Amino acid sequence: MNQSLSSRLRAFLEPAVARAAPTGVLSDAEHRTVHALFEALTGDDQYPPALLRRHVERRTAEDGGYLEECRAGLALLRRAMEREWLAGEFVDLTHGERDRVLRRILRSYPHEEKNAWWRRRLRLTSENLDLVAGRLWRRAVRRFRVVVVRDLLEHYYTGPSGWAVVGYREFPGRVRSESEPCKVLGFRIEGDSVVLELSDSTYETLDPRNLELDEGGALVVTTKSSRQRAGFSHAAQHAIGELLQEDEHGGLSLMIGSVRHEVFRDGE
Amino acid sequence: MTASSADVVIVGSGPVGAAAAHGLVEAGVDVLMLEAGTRPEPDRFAVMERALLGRIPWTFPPYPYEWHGDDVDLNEFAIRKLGGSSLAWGGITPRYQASDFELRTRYGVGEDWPLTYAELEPFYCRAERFLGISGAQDNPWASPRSEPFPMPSFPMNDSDLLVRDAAKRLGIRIHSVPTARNSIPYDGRSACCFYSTCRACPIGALYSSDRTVARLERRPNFRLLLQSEAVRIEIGGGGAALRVVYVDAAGNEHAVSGRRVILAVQPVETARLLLVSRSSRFPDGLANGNGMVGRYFLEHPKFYMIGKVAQCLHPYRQGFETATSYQFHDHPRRDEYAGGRLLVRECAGPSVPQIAAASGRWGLELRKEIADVFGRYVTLGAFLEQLPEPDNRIGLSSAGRTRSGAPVARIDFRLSGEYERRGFSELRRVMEGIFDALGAEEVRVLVPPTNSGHYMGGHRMGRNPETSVTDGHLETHEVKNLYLAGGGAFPTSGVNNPTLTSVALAFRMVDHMLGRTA
Repeated sequence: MNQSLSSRLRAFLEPAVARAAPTGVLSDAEHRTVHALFEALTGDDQYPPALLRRHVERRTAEDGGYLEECRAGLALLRRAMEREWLAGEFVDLTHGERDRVLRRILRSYPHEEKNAWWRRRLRLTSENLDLVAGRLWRRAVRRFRVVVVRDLLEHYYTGPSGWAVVGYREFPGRVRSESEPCKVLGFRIEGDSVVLELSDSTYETLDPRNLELDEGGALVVTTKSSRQRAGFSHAAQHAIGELLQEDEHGGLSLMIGSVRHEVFRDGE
Repeated sequence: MTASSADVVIVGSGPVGAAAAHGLVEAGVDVLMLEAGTRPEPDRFAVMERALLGRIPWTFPPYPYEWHGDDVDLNEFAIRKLGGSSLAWGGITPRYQASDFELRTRYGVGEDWPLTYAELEPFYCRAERFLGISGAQDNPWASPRSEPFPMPSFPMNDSDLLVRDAAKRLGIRIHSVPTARNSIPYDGRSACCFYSTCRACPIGALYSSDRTVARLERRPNFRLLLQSEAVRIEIGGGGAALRVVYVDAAGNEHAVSGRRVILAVQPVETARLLLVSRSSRFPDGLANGNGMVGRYFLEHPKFYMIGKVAQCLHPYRQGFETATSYQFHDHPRRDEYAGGRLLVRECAGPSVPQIAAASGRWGLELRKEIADVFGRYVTLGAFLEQLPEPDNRIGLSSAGRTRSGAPVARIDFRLSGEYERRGFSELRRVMEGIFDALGAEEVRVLVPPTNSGHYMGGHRMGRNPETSVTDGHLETHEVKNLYLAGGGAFPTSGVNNPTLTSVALAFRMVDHMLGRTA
């Protein structure tokens, strides 16, 4: 109703994901294959497997159809390996072999900005041709590309490693929140909440469950929706100490207004 | 049906509803706010990740409507969540110029507003303090202001500086644009850290009204009802607005009565609510005895042009617009064709994840392609003035029904007439000149004239009760104690993003309610 003709056409041609399909989790072996696929797609073999696993687990557990598409993609990989006369598992292949398998499945083509202007004008871009082919006779391959491959690429290129490709090693945002040291400089109390003042000049409301003592006994807090751990400046630690109470067993709790919140030790 | 009451009932929790609530609660008035949606997701970083891919980061049930005419999107900024449009806005907050209030008098087209710039100016100052505006007084076409901006402006980015220098050679002046985001810590909120995903600011540096409402919730004279969708307004024997009937998440009907009622939702929904609120006294819809409700619906036709340049301009480090020009807005032939606000986009060309998602490459080939494609674009854009037309209107659908069984809105709308098309041609010529001066290649219109998500008109204000729905204080001519706030009150569109002016009008409305103004 409120979409342009081209976007409507695109929505018609693009393979639909079965949103009602069951959610779940991949096996460890499947996760290893997905990681190997991810390495082939990104050209990065240093990416932490745990980060990728967290992302994939979230998708398979929350987004109907993704688990099914993932498994269908892994089956495509297996079939392509057979056609290439490659034995064993995808994870055991060399980088060159993995790329060869991918080329067996996917046609490699450039971004539309690299197509000639007349092709862009006539909308005869490589992407659009792949879209049409995916509708007519390469449905499984198009689904693999659109649902699984692009999701993995998007995961990588929305993050710091991806932006580093264009030299944004200090790209603000996730890089800043995940890799720069951050400190609590102060705080203020608003009603039943404590608002933290952080060293990157941001403020956020403290979730007392994120407050803990590290191995050295210093107070630390995870900030940015659990994406970054922050220590306290001396002044902030002294100030928040006024709100801390110790019980007879040495346990600490934070009193905000009349509410007591337990402070855990690292690893508890 | 259960019922409750308050001094003032406000429908909608966007920036206008929040500003009105703020002003009233501060004055000790008992306020109850109805919001159709839920609270936004608390994990703003997860929302930010969606925004990094250029997607609308919030998920919400869209307003259903029936469309006739130009195909434009009415749901882009009509966010059904606590915070409303401020969850997805760009935060660009220029003031309207004095000429925008007197278009009929000065140029013989459009309509005059029932108030002047000078009358609204003190409320602009209050709105700027309330939203937290960063800006500089370097716009030679700006109307006079009585206070400096609350915060200094943001610096121009690489793209701005390149365009500024090229435009200068053509006699075009590029200057800063005010924005509702903190350049320094302000009002207990963070300074902008340039996450570049302003439609989902993860740290609260960009103003969003859900935070205002969260503060108001601590006040004893403020109540918020979430997932409470207003379905009609009922009047009492004296003809004054009495009760707002709403449905909760389970579909049960309730009512809240108020001595005054403020509708602070987007114009389509405001008009629809009035039209469905029929009674024997108002058979054509509430406050619609003159048939003006829903008419003169307005937008800003916008378009973008893009061109390739040789150097990388390092975009996507800021995420918002920092340079503009009003040189082509209030031009001498404004009676013949639309003026426009020229702007320079910071996020020009595809971002890194967007390139990755649209490419057919992978591995090292993709890395090389990203490095090759990224950052070598300049995008210029313009918001054009649209003349008010009575046939651009919001009515009721004869087919579609809402969850509660009421008719959905029917929109009859044409984005461009001759006036706007000529304005487009003029601005396009200006942009092509700038691209020439830049030595840009492959210059093309990236986004053809489309709507901006700036929904205006539909319950316009005016001095004449025969041709308008509300007076200059946003109180309806026909139903005393019923106020219609928001961009729907605008008689003309100007070329400016409407939120700041809507908030300023809301503060003026509140002062009127409190008996502080004439």
